[in-house]
Amino acid sequence: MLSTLRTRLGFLRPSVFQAARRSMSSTTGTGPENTPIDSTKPTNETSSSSSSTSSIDEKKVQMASIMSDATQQQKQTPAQLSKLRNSLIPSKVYENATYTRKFKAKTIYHPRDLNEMEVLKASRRIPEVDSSKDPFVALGINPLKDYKNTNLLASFVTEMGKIKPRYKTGLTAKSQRRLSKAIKRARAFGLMPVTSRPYFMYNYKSLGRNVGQY
Amino acid sequence: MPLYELVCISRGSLTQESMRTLLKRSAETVLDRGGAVRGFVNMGRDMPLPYRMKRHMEYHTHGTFWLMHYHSNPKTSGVLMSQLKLDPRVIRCNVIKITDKLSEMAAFNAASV
Repeated sequence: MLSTLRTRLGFLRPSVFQAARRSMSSTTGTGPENTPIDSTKPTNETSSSSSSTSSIDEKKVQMASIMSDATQQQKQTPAQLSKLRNSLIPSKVYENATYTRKFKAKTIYHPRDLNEMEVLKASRRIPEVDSSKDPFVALGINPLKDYKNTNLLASFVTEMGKIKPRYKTGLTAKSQRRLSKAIKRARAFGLMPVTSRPYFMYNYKSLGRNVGQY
Repeated sequence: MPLYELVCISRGSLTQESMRTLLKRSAETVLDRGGAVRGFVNMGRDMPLPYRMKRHMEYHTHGTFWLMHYHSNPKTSGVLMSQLKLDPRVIRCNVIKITDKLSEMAAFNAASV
């Protein structure tokens, strides 16, 4: 029955056959499933794989028809084309994205947030330092005057004795400069080790209270 | 006259007598040239050094840390430095100018104990 239809109405689009097939085979239940289409595969009108579900075939057919229309007319603007294409983008495109983000309902998003590249750039940017969170600024201490306080300096130095960079310490530029100067001074004076973090301290208490700051 | 701080590391194996003479000598160097010694601070006797240091043809692993605060003219400070560098009892010595301002000198309170 189907074959005779095909031979007689061969010039018609395959979408007609899909509708016919669906109406004929009601019991054979391969209902429309939401499986993703591989949009990169070239769609071929003549090669209709009978095993695939009707919805995918329909979509493929639609895509193919649009593409053929476009090539024939060659007058559709890029905006129109992209609009058409976007309306048929399958969900698999989003699955392949390198950055997945959950968008909540009832929240307002800037167009910037929808652009994957922009969000990645923002996440890579070094966050600006809040000067109120800088411990030296908050306490009113000049780190350079506390070069003898190796316990204090130890918290700004890695396991290997390297001075931590500013994005790790979270200090303002001024504080970071003074602190690094203090660490270098302590190393040169023989008060702090160079290749390791100081784990003991000399008798700082003997220096009295408020000894660093005056 | 500005306020200076001498941070000195002397040999760990010094007797108390030789330690005393060393401190006295450094103070006298300042006083003889019209300076004023504010005080000494002991930061630790015979402590391990943060790293091995070589001075006067010897390797040192332990030392005595001490500070001297004093007022003097810059020239005297230089003389003190050069003298201590020649002294075999001293491993390392550095001088730092703390401040020039009178208000800060007054606020300075070292070794109040």
